[in-house]
Amino acid sequence: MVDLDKLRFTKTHEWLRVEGNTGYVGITDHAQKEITDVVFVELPKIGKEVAKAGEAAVVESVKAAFSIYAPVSGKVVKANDAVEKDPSLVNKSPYEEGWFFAIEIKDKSEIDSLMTQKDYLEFIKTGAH
Amino acid sequence: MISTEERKTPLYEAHKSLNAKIVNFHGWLLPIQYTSIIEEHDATRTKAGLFDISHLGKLEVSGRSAKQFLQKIFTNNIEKAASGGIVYSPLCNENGGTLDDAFIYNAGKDRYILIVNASTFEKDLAWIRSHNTEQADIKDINDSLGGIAIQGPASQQILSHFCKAYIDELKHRHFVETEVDGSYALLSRSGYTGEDGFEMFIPAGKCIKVWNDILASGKGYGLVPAGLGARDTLRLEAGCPLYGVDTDESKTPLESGLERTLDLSKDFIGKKAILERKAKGIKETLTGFKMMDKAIPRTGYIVERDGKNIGIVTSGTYSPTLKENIGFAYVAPENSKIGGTFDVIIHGEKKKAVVVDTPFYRRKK
Repeated sequence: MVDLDKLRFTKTHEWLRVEGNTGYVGITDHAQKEITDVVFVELPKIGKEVAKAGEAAVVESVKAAFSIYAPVSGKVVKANDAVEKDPSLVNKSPYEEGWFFAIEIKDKSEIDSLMTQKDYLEFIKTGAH
Repeated sequence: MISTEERKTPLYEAHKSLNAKIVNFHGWLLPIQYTSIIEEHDATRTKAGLFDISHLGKLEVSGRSAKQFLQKIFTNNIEKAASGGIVYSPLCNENGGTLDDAFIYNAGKDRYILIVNASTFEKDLAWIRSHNTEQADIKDINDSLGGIAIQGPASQQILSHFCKAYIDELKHRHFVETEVDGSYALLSRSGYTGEDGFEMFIPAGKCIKVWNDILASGKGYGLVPAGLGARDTLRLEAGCPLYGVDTDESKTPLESGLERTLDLSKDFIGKKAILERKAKGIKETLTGFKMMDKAIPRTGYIVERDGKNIGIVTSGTYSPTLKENIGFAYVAPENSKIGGTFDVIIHGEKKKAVVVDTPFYRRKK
């Protein structure tokens, strides 16, 4: 099990897991529930430069399309092929098998602006989204 | 779809206790899903789904002039339904624009029940009342009745345990006034999913009991509660247009593929304008398509051919049954030929689509 205390969160409901200089990105359990059944995921190409809060991927549920924003700036170094093949992994395992892509983080100080799990839970509870 | 008004159906508490995800649908708080749109969709196609349809508008029109009045306001011929039968018809304004589509139940003895869309109920009621020069008796029965639909191949088997009437012989688009689970029910063999199934309108106070009893008893047959999300994917696969999405006042039934519901042998409001448009030829027609490229079409997406805008998507979804991406679009008749291709602009990119026959899905009989 992933330790949620080690993750950082955005107001747009992405999570970031940092391993060395690499940051893995997915969406939160709250977000996957809101989005409903994910049926299509479009991932960024490896090597693509993404900016913090810039659109990096698209997920589509039965109901609608949603943009996934990069929590931090950097270069895409990995994309999760498994989630493209089986988009329902986003619903079944949002924090583990359902990750989207990994970024080589450009500026680690950007991580500090993201929310902790405690902040995020408070953020969704107050409905400020 | 966003509204500040929030009305609860008689089944609201049942949805809450099932932990449904609730949305505001044209002012009604309704479940969009209970567990998963796809699971609820698949259960309805293979076993059965139970739907809250209490939001549908309900009116009663009666009296000696009722038939004459309904023949005037509806484009279809009310006489197609004998007592116990149901006619589907658009309701048009003088310009032939579609105000709504309705199911007209002939209850016999000059009494008719009208089932209309939730989004248009108030508008319909005002329109119907203001055109009632025949002085038919118009009654708003919207709040007194709730509605439940059971849809899917196991529906008859599940429901037969609760019905006084022998429903095996009830034909499609026919109804009986009977008892279901000890409560009065206007029970029809009908639906909006492309499957066999039934819709029932029952007194609001009895809805929760009937819902819970059917759900408990149907579990063994694979019955699940199903929300608006599944209702939308099911109806689109079945090729059913949704009023307010696939057609509206800017379209006559000629454009929205409902020409079969125009009875030009009688007079009705909008007939003159519709005949004129028919003579001139329509400029656009509701067209079913599926995506050849991997992308999901959505309401409002632009349709292009050779880089030129030729139309707009009205409905689109991933089809859980076909495992393909399907939709409806308005394009010119010359662009609507089956097998023809066009592009849908999805997230800024051209994605190839092909025109197909509808319904997209047809159940095996």
